[in-house]
Amino acid sequence: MMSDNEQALPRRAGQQGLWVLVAVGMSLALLAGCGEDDPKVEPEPEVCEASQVTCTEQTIDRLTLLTAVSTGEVREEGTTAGEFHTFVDSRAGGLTPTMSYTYLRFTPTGLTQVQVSDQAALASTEWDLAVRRYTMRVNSGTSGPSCVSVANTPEGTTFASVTSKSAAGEFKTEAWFDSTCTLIPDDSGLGGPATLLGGFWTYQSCVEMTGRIFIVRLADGRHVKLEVTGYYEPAAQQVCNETHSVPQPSGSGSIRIKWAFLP
Amino acid sequence: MRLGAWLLLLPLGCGPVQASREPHELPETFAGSRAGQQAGARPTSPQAVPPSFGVDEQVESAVSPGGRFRVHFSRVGLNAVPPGDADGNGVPDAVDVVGRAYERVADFYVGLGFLLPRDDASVGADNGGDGLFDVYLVDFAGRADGAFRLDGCESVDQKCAGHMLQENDFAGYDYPSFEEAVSILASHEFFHAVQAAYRPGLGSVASEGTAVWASERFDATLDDLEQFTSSYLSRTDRSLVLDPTGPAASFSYGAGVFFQYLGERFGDRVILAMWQESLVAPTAPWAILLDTVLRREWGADFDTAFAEFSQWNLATGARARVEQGYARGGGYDGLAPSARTLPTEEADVRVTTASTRYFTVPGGSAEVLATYVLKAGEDPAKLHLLVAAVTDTAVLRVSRAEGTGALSAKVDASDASEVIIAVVDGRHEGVGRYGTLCLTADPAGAPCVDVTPEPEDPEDEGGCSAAPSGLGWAALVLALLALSARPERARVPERARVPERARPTGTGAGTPPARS
Repeated sequence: MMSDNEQALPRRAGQQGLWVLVAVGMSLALLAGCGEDDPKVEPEPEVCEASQVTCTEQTIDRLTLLTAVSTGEVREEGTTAGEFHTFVDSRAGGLTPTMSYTYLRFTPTGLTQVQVSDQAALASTEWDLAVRRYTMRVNSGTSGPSCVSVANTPEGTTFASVTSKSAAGEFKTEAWFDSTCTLIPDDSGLGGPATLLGGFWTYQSCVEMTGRIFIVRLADGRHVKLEVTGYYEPAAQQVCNETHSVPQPSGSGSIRIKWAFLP
Repeated sequence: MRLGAWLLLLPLGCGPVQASREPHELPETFAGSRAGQQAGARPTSPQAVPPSFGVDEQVESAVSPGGRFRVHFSRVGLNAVPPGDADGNGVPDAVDVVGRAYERVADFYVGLGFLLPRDDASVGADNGGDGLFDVYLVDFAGRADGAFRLDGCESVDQKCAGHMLQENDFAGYDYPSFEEAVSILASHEFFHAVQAAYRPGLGSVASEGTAVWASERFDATLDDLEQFTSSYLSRTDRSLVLDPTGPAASFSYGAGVFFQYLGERFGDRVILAMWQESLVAPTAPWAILLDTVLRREWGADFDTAFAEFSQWNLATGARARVEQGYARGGGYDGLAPSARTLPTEEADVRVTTASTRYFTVPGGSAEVLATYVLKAGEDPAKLHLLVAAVTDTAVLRVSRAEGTGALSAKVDASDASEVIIAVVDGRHEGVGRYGTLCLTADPAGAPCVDVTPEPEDPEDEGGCSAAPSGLGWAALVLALLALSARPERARVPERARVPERARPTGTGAGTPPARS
């Protein structure tokens, strides 16, 4: 029996996923080779070269990565065709988290939860996005072995106005440690890691949404536009955004993400 | 720039053990508070970072009886203090209470040898009107209840002056009384001002931890330390030398129990010496400062102190006894060992710097043996294994194993309701380490020791020896060395088998814990 805050997972757990990825890549290459007579050859999907995550021990300590898989609920709330609005219960046990981030994967039917613990996720390419409390990170660089990258859009960009990846700035992978594994903190003053999606909120006296639109490039080359629309329940979030003060109870830890695949 | 996001502190869900009191301050970092001070002003200024007085509020001030503090307050408006003035001196009694409390606290810290906060006459025009230390009574609206803010430093990040914000009326707060709330806030927040007279940027664990200690030391009947200990004791697997990221600041407050241990074990001077050393080594982390002064003045070091601290933590809550650790450990609660069954063998058990993993197994068996074998290539230094036979109300005996590499200890558990095992990492620098933990009550030590048939030896017909012979120790060392050198590709390491006849006993079959 293990408690919620156990940290006893093998560091190499999940590395099997790398081999699977390589095998898939080789299979795709072979399939492409077999299609020489077909005049309508589909373009090869981009293959992510899974990378070794650096500074993993520091990340485990700094981000309090745990071994208990998140039980937070994930559900789709959107009703617009081709557009998703996903609710993620990101409370993770409360102020001092007792469970892992909630790991998510972008799929044609919505964001689906990947049952993996924090420490195993450091070696897993199965997930794209991780959420716990107000921290959101993608699977690349110092965060995971995959190739998920994020680009900002110009300030003032609306979700609806983004119709292609051309709106994106420079795509970056997670890099909250420097070459000596010294933490690069965000600008909140809280000492947390500078994650690529950290700009979705700002704070005066409550967690206000910035409305910033991000473009996420997935490991298979697809692109997603993404906006975090709430950290509190919607009514409380609206009051917070308008008055810089949030009523209680606020429902903090109720992350909502609006997103859609881009052509 | 984002300011401290205190609302992130409001949890929807409850972890297994959470502090029963919210942190006193907004989670402003040293750098953040400095930047805020440079950009902003005192709470009487329209440009002040909230909480602050309204532009239409009439702000008055009164000097404390000892003449060292100026308390700023309003009688009407959002930040109004309780209006009662029983002594008829024209100043609300609440303000009198604050002034007297800060005077008492200042006297106490001077008595311990600490510096008092620096005069703020030199910080500019916005200094409260004079060089007295300023306390502003403002409404935190339940989000926090105090804050120390820096005004300026004599040298880079050292010898700094500042001012205090404190909740105006504590209405809606969970304190026994206004007077007790003021005593807690005055002793806690003013100690931040004391820290600033040395080096205020030592991080949240040192800053909040010693402030909680200071409050307890000022008046042991105050309950702040007791309220926060669970924030540390429930998460001893976290590194004490890494400040928590994000708003989990209660861990730093809970770290007060470590400084309480230091104060009780080595005397108040060890805390003072650490802060004094921060002026000598202006960039050194607090753990190095502490290690330095422990070595220099007490013949100890961080590692040995942390290991003993981990043992003291066994005797907390209902198991507290003065002779086994804290003088008031009955009020410290929240130790959360992870339950295991017997026997158990678990690979890749991780420990990191200045952390302890506690496990518990059922008692009642003649002996419980624990082994912890580091993976090959791991730094073997400063690792400790404690095995404690306990009941619900007492720590009966503790067996310890120290040293490098494979550790093994056993304890008589026949009269114990459970056995608590602690794997302690006493380093203050480094990264996580992994090893195999094995726990058993098997008389032969299986599966943690290698049970081999007895050789035909007419000279050894008396059965297995309770204490290892010289050859037995040699066999043990060889066996454990062999295990330590096994290939890393073995995801689940082979069992840490120890020849039965060479079963190690740590520091014996268990000795009563003592404060030593």
